[in-house]
Amino acid sequence: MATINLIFFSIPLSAIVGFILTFIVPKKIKRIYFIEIFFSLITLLSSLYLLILVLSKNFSSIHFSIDIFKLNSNFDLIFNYQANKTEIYLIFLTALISFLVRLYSIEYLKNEERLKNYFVVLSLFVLSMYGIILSKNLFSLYIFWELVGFCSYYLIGFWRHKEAAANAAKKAFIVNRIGDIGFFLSILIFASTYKTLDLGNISNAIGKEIYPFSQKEFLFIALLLASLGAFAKSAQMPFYVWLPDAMEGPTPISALIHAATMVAAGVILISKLFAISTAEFLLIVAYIGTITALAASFIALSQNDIKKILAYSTISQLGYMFAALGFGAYSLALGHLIAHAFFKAGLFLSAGYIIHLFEGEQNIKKIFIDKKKEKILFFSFSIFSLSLCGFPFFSSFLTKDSILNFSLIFSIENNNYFFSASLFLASLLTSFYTFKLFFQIFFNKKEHNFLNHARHISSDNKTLYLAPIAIFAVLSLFYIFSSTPFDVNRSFVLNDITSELKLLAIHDFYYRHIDNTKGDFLNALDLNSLEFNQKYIRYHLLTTLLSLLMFSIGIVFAAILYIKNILNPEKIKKKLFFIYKLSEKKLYFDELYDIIFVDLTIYLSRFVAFIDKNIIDKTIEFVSYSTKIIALLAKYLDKYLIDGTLHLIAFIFEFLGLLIRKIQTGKVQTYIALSVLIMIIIYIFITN
Amino acid sequence: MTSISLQHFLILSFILFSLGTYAVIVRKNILVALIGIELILNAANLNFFAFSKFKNYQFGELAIIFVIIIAAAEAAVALAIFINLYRNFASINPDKANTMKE
Amino acid sequence: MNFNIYDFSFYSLSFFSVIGAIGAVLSRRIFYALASLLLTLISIAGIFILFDSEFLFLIQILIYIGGILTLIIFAAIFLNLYNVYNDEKKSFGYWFGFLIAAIFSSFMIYLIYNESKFFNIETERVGNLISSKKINEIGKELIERYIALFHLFAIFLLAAVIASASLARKEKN
Repeated sequence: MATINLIFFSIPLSAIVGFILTFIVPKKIKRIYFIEIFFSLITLLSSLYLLILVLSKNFSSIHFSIDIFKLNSNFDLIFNYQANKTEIYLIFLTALISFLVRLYSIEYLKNEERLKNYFVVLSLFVLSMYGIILSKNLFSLYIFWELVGFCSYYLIGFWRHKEAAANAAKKAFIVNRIGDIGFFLSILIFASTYKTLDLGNISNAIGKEIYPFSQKEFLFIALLLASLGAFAKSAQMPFYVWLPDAMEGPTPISALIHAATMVAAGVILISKLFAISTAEFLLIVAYIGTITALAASFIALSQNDIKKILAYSTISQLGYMFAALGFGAYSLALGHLIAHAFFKAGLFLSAGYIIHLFEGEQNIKKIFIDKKKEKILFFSFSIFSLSLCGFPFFSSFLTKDSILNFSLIFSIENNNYFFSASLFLASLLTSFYTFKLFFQIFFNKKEHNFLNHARHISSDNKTLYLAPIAIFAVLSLFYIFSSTPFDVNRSFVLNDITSELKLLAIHDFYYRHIDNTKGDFLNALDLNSLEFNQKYIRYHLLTTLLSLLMFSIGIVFAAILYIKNILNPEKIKKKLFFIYKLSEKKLYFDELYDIIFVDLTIYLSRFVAFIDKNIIDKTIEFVSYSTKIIALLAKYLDKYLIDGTLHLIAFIFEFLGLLIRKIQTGKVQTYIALSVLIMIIIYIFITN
Repeated sequence: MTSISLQHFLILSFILFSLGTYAVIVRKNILVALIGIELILNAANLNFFAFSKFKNYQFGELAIIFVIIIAAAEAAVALAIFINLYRNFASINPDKANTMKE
Repeated sequence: MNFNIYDFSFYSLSFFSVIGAIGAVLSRRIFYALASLLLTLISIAGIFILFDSEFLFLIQILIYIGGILTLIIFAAIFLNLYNVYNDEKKSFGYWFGFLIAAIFSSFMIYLIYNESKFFNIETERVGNLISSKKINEIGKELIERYIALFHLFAIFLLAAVIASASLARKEKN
């Protein structure tokens, strides 16, 4: 028991120690990344050991918690971390991909002088990813969530001299922020209602029918707000705009962050909330996922940049995962996440290698690689492409096929064929653009371009490029999931994850809803019922055939257009001009956001500036003017009234004085006259 | 014997008195003022005399004697003062005998 | 009506005294004023003798005219006031004085004609007039009854002589 704990704790500990050491060691040291490689190797080995434990069914879940504080009975903040089998799978995924990406980065960025910063932020990112995976407390999840967003911002804008990269980083961060507001609000709602942010406690409380603000509808709102964060981070509609621009960052970063791990964080969040989800909320999730899957694959049709195509395909596959969650297929969503992580990371690393071969050229119309010269690349790329399209024998066939099956059953149950139609159409489009990419690079020789022949790299260390690619290619085959390529029920990964579902104590809240709201809302799928299982088997064959059909239509079209120029894609483009434009301009979302947010803000700020200049400044001017007037008035008042009064008094006294002074004439006869006068008066008074 | 009554004397003395007062107060000549003083004294004498005659005022005649004595003394002193005044202010206008600051 | 020598004498004498007074106060030349004063004094002396008082007549003439008037004439001659002709014209108190004079004179006239109500000096009458004293009676009166006053006035006269002599003395510079 103690060894398991030790090995488990070595994962976060080595991540932290690796981060700190890389941070404090000065830049001058050459090959600074070896610290990181060492510690991530430790992490990888530990997670591999734990994975083996899981696979051999010897694993029991590990808990640990960090008490932050505990207010008396009102609120407690205890960071709980829990590692069940699901988390072990995800941790292994993260550890492996990050390790291989680090190896790849050593070669890819070997001439970069800010390599230390890169590795520091990268290790912080991986650390935060572990935090997200392991967190059972919403607030701790939020902390790591933000950290992951910050690392993504830094790494997208890593080449800061490129203005496009800086703008893309800003865009990514801002869109993520908008989602984070929703997430934070939902944290507040949960905290105020349940006085705890631990997901287990919350789901127990909901089982006892304690809802936010004592109403069930508010649970829906709280969940919706939290899901805003997930949609923003996982680039769903309408928040997807940042992910294509995020391709300005270095390709290993695109592989790690934007294909395998960070964008998966949204899916992880929804899966954590799955235990307390309501059917209406999951319906919203399903809608968003489906729409995203369809729209993103539509946009990817017209793109010509390798990384942009891969970005849109990531968005589309994430849409599949959200749709799966929305249908209730919890384990399928996570399974598809794991499968997608491997082949998408492989695709991105291959793209990075291709870009490196052509010294920065990313437009597939200008690239051609001779498949004989780059054999490993060709084989790996073809494996990735087939896996992306969900071809049998490859890993994602199991999960994607089952998701399509679920969507069919869901649509049939509810008589709403939107979900299944969109997802099948999306798979068609997926195969089209995937093979467009594949054929353009490897089969479509461009005559007029001198970049036709990729330069031969002899001096580079190709191993560090190709080895990760090859490893990912191997991991994209079927047997990582189950012993048989066709039967999803035998998949040990999925079974492990499904068994966890019972541990999560999903409340029959979810299922109760099915009885109560027949006819009002779409019916949720009761996964435990026998009826469902029968339906599943019945429709499985249909689904498989349909998906194969979609696949073949897509690949045939791509072949027609892009191999040997049987049909000119330019002519098709002209015919479908409007649709093409819609796809190329990314459904005009960027323009829409530009008008709504940027222009509005500029207009508002101009308006406010106008008010400020004309009204407020004029008011101040007026105030100062009136102060001047008042001062003038006061001056006149002072001068004429007050001083005048004083002058008047002085004048009166002067006058009186002058008057009285006239008595004192200095002439004797005046005095005589006065005394005579007074004597007469006295005389009159005496005699009277 | 005679129809002259007290009132006749008193009116006469009043006329002389007021003329004397006029001379003292109004005339701008010191000597004329002195003349006016003499007139006043004479009027007072007449008054005394009238009352002594018509009202058996026994002291009246002696009063006249004393007034005349006073008048003589006072005239002498007054003239001495006037001489001094004339020496100091070079004028017999009493208004000129004025050292008040204007 | 009968021609009463007393009345005629009194009226003419009083007329001359008033004329003389007017001339004394209104003359522009000092010597003319002094001459008019002389006339007044003589008239008043005449009034005195008319009413049987020889002594008063005598001392009026002797002291007033012979002493005081002579003194003033000598002073005028001494100060060389022959042709001095200085008089200022009316000041602002002129009409004011006139008013006072009017009030005063009306009051006096009222008093004069109602004096019997105010003054209670009623004595026995011998005929219409009280006879005046003779000179020896006055002398007897002075020495017997008013000796203090007599001496006082003597000293007073002495003081006056000394004062005037010292006042009029020229400064020895």
